[in-house]
Amino acid sequence: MPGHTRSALARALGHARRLARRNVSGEHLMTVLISVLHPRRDPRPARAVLHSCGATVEDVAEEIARRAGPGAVLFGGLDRDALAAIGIDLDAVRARIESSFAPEDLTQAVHRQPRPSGLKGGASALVLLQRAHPDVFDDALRAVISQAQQRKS
Amino acid sequence: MLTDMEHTLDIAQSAASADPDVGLRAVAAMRVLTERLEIVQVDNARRLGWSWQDIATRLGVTRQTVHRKHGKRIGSR
Repeated sequence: MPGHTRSALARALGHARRLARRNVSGEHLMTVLISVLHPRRDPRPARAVLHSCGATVEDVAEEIARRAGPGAVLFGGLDRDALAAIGIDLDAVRARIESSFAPEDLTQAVHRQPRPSGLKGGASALVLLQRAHPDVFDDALRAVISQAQQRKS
Repeated sequence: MLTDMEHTLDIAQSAASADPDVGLRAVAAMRVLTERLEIVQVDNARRLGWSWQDIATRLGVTRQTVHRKHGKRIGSR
């Protein structure tokens, strides 16, 4: 088991023990996952925990799209005000694209998220999704892990 | 004839477009938007049976460039 996976699982175990539970549940993994999703931290533990649950970044992107609209991932995190200032109406572009393509076609751009200011290289797609969709991210992640664990059991 | 409010808005918008802070952020956002739309459009073209050469011609790049950028992602599905 890679060191970063072991360290993430150890943190989940510690969290479970603090809550006096015997087993590590998806909820504990979720808590650790969210706690390690910080742009200045190593993103590998977050990916490792997600994969250990049987889920992928693409699953999270699709869940965000289900909650925030089909074009949420494609248009999330873009500087709407700056584009409006030069005459580009992002809502109009999004409406056209959403009416032309199936929802599943619009989540493929998950790895092309913009880097927020101050965020240098190495940020994972998961971190960028979290930054672009803070309002629905935690719930989407929780749902994806829960679904993945149900598939496993 | 422009009302005072419309005139004020007009000046504000003109100033905004000449402001490097807004202009550069707009360029950065357009670059990201273009990258993402390219993914959607290339995927769609491939699903419809377009060749890499036809896609490259429309994008104004070489077949090798478009295949190097998108081939692995599309090929893995």
